[in-house]
Amino acid sequence: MKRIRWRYMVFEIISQEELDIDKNALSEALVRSIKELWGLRGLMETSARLVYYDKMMKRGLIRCKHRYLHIVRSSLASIRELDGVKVIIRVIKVTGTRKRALELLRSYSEVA
Amino acid sequence: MRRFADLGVYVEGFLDDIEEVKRLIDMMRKLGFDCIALSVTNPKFLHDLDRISKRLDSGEVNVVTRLTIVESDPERVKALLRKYRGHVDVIGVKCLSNAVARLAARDGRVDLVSFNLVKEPTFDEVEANLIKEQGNAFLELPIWELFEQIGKEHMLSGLVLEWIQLAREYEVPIVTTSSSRSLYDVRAPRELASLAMFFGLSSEEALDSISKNPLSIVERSRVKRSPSFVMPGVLISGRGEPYEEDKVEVHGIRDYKPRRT
Repeated sequence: MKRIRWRYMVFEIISQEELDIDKNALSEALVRSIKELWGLRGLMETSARLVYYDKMMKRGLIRCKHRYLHIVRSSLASIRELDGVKVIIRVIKVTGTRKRALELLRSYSEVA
Repeated sequence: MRRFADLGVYVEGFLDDIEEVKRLIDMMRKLGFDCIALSVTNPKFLHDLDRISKRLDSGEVNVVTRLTIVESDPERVKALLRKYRGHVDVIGVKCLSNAVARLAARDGRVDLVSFNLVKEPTFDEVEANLIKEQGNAFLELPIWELFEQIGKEHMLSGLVLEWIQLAREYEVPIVTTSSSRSLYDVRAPRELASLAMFFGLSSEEALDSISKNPLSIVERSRVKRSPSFVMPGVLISGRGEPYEEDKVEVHGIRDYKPRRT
């Protein structure tokens, strides 16, 4: 059986006002967005999962299958509001390993 | 490395607030755009738009201007094209009637044509063929506008797939724009490309639609608006020495002077 190749997306949320959203709510928003755009099949194919979210830094990590990266990207881009606040979700970097993605996130928080 | 452009950022709503426009441009630069078209639908804002774009145009981001003509009368479209073609970098036509759609497809002065999903006319074979044979317009996919229309009627998304099939068949290039109207509507280039992929473009086509294709429009417009442009295919490449009457020798006659009329 072919090994599944994952991709790790490091993203940040740019919001108009102070945003108070936790990991679960963000994960729900992501799933809702994928379902709305690509349907249940899209959700199934990507196997997207919010791995990590730092509420203070408004940065996080999403894991998905490498072949369906565009589905998660477009779903993130189509989220225009979170908790009533206008947002832009920007993918900063896509990596092939979780370790590298977490290193990146750590480096960003050190800079900040 | 690819350079990215968004040719549809509407600033009419906050054109009087230059700080907001500056914030928008800074945000788009941060997101990774190299070229931004500040757009208006009302020509009365063009003077302000021109002033702002010149002020905010920097080495990092190329700020250009765009006028979107939203009309149903072809005569009015012709008049607007005649009047404003030389003043803006990009001209888009939102087709509200069949006559306007045909005119926009034929006219070489039109850069972008866009259609409404809800109302007639639509992008059809005749339209695609006219663009291929006579015009040099690109088919525009204004992402947020399309999403708003699809939000009202889900079945309409199939229509965009048909447009893209037709564009492929007739080799009509596609340009994806965000059609954003505020700072928080803009999206990063690759996110915009992924939204274009939702409408059926392949990965390569989607990236071309936000980089190669829009940049070629800006380049074409820059060449046409430069003082060295005479007509398509003719450019002034340089100027020679001034003509000196005294040193002219014609047919061996040293003192020949051309007759003044």
